[in-house]
Amino acid sequence: MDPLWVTLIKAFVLCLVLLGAFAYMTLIERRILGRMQHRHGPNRTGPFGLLQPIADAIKSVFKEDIIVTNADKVVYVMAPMISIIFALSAFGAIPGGPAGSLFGFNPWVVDLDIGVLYVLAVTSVGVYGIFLGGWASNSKYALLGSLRSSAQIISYELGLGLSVLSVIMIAGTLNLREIVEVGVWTVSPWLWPPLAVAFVAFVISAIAEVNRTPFDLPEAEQEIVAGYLTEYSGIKWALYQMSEYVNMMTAAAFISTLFLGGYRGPYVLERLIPGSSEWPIIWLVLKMAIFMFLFIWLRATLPRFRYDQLMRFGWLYLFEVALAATLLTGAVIAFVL
Amino acid sequence: MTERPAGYHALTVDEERRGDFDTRFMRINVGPQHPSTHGVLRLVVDLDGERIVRISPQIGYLHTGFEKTMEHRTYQQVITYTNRMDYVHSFAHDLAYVLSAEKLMEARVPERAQRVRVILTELNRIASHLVFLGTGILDMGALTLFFYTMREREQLLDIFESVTGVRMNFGYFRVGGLYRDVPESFEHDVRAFLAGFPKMLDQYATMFMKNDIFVNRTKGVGVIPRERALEYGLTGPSLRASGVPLDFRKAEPYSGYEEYAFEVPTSEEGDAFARFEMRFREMTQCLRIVEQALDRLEPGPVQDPDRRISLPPRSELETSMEAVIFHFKLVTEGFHPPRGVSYVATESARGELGYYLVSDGGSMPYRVKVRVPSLINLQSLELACVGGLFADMVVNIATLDPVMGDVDK
Amino acid sequence: MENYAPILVLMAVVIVIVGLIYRLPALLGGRASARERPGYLSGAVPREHAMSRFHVRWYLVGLLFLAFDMEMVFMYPWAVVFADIGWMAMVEMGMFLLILLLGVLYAWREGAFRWT
Repeated sequence: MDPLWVTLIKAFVLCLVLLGAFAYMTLIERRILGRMQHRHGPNRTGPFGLLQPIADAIKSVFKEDIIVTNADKVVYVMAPMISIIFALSAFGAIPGGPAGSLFGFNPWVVDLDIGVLYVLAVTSVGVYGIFLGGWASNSKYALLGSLRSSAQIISYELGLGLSVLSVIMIAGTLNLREIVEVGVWTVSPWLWPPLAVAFVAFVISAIAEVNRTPFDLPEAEQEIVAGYLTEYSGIKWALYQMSEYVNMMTAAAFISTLFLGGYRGPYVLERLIPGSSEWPIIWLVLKMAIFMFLFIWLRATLPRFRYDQLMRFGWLYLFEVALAATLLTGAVIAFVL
Repeated sequence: MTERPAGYHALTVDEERRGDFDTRFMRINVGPQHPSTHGVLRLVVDLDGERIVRISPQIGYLHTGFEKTMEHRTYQQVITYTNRMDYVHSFAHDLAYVLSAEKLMEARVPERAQRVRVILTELNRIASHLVFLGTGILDMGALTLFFYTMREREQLLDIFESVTGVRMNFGYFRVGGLYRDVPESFEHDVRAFLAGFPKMLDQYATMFMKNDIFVNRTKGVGVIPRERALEYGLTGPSLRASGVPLDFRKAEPYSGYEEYAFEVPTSEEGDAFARFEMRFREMTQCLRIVEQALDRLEPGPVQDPDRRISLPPRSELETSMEAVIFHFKLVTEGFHPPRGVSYVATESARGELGYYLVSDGGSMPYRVKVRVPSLINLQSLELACVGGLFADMVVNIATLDPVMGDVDK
Repeated sequence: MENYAPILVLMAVVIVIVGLIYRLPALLGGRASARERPGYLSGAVPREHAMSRFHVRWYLVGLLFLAFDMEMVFMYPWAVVFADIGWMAMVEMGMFLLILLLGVLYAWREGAFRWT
């Protein structure tokens, strides 16, 4: 348990790092998409376009701020804040390394016995930001976007929640740090099949949770213009973008922590350089980078689901598959081990 | 237009404040400023949840009065306007017009000119289908294919530029032939394209025709049954997707299409996937036609030697008084077709395209009426959309492939 | 309980930072207030309020979701202690799920899953 001032500083640093990472993720995404699409992407502002996020930030700050006539003003102004506040808060529970590994401090902001529940709950609340934003905008396109986002959350949330259960059953704890220390894959090879299924189901649900292609229905540009974002401009729009990317990073970190050993380094490297798996932050960031790349790659590749297909997919496939993985894990634990 | 659904009335702001909610559909206005209406199409859509109960297209935002303007231009000047309607498949409009005008004039177009016309029109058809594929799948949210198709289209535009001097509104065909002969690099460029393009088509096929999400988004979506398609006057690839093998290149061959071996792909499904597939398979047939035409391309004149239609060559002007007189007449007032009417149905990338020309014997057409495929195909939008989802509407617009310049004229 | 104090600290820091970002345009640009204009309706001026009734199916699916989300919440503590209790836990949860599954089958038969 850290003293309060340490927590304060860590929270502050975490926020700034996440915001910086968001800014540069936009650049990285645009550059990677550019590579995949036979074009350059932003490369005019500074070397390799490195100043582009700063230019974008300045633009967002000075852009005209618009409020729609007859919009529900309080909710309209609050909605982007809800979205970003919960997006940033969720990340605090993800452990970045073993206890005391970061210059003698713990590389996390909060260490909870119910870390898994905390992250799931807080990210779910963030969806209210999207939903309320579209609701309050007094624009039909925004309203359609927010209805879609609510339809989406109730379709994938079950798959998301259930596919975590396998991990929890194996680790026997809801504490993210302890889950990492247990190392779910090392328990028994019998558990690999259900874990693999749960992993795939979880990754798919996580992509749906962060509204990325092919599940980007709430902001389907070609149909409902920009969905819930339609009426937002300037800094409010930037905050929504921020929360989308921070959510992506949280999802990537959460997947890594639950299924891929989180902050621990690869086994092979540990044999070569003893102690390397104790290095803080770096392994988590690398694992996150893989998933961030996956998200971008999918965006460049796949078309979008239709919302009835998404709901059918969520209820009739994801839910059942995740449930099967859970029961299979239970059966293995109860009867084999 | 369908009946106004019962119980519909718009809720005013005051009524909303009073909490006066009523059973009604959501009426949403799509376009003219919307990312996926392919120009300035405007649709007024009534939604029940996300299901479309009523859709009514509002057109005319791009109306330019081309037909009326053409009545005040000489027959050769009209070509400036024809290619500005369907700016995606420009050569088809040019071809349809010159064929109709040539029928009035009873002009004999040299073989080389015929072949070059066919090659350019077919290449342009490929370019048009590439735009269709790219934007069509972009409307479903996949970004990348658009850039790939644009890359291939760029190659075609380079060829067009080397031939005509411009990339879009070509105006290269003339009544009685071509404006000038193709450059020497033409054959080499086209062959290079023919060699490389089939591989690209295979790549596209793996990128979306075999993509589960794409197939689910399009299979069974926006079905237009065969009978209804005929009733609504649908033509082109969209009609062939509904199982009617009507292609004017086969049915009423023009420009020597009867000499080339090619197939007309058809499908029985009539859904959005079939409409995608038709255009996709048609591109391979275009390649076949281009290859055959290129093989048979012989050197020769590219203009009708008839002095009533074509300008005399520069060298004759210095020696022949007669040539000077023809030159003067053609330049100052153009030619005079005999009294009569003509219509030649051609197959553009979108469907039946024809120019109905009425001549009163003067140097300008008395009346021009263009049978544009986009406008008439757009009628089927309601058929395809009602009962479907809002997201399907976008797919249906894309697969009916209207070009707004073509619709509004 | 003091384990949870850092959450409050984190939230407070986040709110302060987000609040600052929110005020940035006003601080830097000095523009007094946001401008009002009619909502976007792709070119047309909206003449009615955007809010309208939702399809009844939203509520149906919402209720189903609530039922299953609660079920999921029950499964979390169950999962934590599962390894200790063993196969009895499996049987108990199996019974619970079976009852719910019957409900799903019923809802399916009644057409609750026909979204459109």
